[in-house]
Amino acid sequence: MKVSRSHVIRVVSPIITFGMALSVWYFISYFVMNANRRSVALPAPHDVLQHGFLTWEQNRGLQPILRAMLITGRVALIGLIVAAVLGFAIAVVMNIAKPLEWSLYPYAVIVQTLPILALVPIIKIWFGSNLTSRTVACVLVAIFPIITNALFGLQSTDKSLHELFSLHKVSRFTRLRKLEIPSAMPSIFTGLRIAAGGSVIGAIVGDFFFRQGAIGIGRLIDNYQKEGRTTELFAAAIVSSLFGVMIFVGFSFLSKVVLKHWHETTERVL
Amino acid sequence: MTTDPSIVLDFNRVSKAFTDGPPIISDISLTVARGQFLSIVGPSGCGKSTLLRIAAGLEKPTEGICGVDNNSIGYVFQDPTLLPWRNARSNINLFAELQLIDKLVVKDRVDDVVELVGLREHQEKYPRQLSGGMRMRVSLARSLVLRPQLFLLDEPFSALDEINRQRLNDEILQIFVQEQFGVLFVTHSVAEAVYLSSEIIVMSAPPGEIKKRIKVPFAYPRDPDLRYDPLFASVALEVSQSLRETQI
Repeated sequence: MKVSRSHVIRVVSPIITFGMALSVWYFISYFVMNANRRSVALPAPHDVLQHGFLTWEQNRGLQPILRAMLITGRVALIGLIVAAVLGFAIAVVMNIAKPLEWSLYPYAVIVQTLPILALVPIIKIWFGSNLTSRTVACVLVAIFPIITNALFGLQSTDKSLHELFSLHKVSRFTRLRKLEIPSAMPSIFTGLRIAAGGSVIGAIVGDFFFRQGAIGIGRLIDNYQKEGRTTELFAAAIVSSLFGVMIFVGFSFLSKVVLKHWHETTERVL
Repeated sequence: MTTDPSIVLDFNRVSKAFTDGPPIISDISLTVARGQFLSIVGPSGCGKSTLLRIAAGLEKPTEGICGVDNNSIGYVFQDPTLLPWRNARSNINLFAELQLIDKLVVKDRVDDVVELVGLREHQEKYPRQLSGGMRMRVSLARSLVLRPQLFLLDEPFSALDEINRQRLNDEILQIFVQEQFGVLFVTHSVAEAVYLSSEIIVMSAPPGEIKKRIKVPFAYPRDPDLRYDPLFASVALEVSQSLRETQI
């Protein structure tokens, strides 16, 4: 197989960036900081690798990190599913008639603009301080991009395609099912992708504030900071961001597969 | 509606104006019968497309009556207007599906139509994988499935190159001769109008009125070389001249 020059450069370039970032990290660890400060503020990359990723014990190294990530990931996923179903339903209702859109949209915007931190006490009062509350936080963060993107998609259905359906005097439901929803699919997936990222952030933030129940990655990071376990703190932060990347790539891939035949699918995965 | 059963479209003194606007078309009377290929030419903005949209029931006339059997219309837009998420065959099936006709019932008919427009090799392809000419064939086929009595064609070939355009002209004529529906055809091309039509209506600049009716004296089926016949040229000249007069 012939590998083109530009292809090689494409693959090598980000690796070079990574190498440079590592060098800067090493430089600061060893030349800017003394040994004491290094272990607290910026442990060297190989220490993070050694203690955070290559150690596998019940309460040390990668094992508790993955365990916590799983908890948080599950909360994020459930939150995303609830937000997707609810948000899509709201968008469909808004799409039925303008007055419905006018009466609902301002409140969707308010949900979006309310800082999640301001709602923490209220969520606590209503739902307690457990996994349910974390899921609620996810839904609140994730639902707005779902609503707006789905609504935008439903409403930007091609006018001449609508006329095609008008020629055959189809029911409102048929129009929705066979025309508007399929044509909104690219937008719906854009919304899902944005919401997925938001949902992960919502779940991690939720870990910090709703501390009852299984320990999520957010709370683990908080604990490690308090206990001065900096190498593992770094590992946990890296794992949580890798999780975010995984979700993003996963949804990009999914939308590529599902939307293979729509026009707007020539974008790259990352 | 007239009592003549072969009449499939009957415009009786139809006018159309949009709210607060001047009339788009004014006092149009015309009929289309089965086996008749009626073309409309006219300057831009003379309401040719509006005429088609009224015939299709997409617009209501302000005055006059438009008699038409709504369930028996094939409409082909300027663009192919295919659903990008459906392959060619599934697009061709769409109208039958919207009319709630069972897939199995129309299967043979879809097969015939796919064959008729030469899409057998391409029926699994998606619109983005098809050329402009192929997409237009899918668009035609979609309407053909329902065996329409009346075909409304709104400049369907204007986006195609000359070779494809002539090829599709021949194909639509062949289908027309075979199926004997009535056609109301809007075009900008005088040569196309003369080659395809049994009669041509020239419309005036807005508000659109019927300026002239010209019978085309050639029998069907037509030979592609007809385009270079002296008599063909003289009919085209007559149409062109009356078109020019409308623009003064």
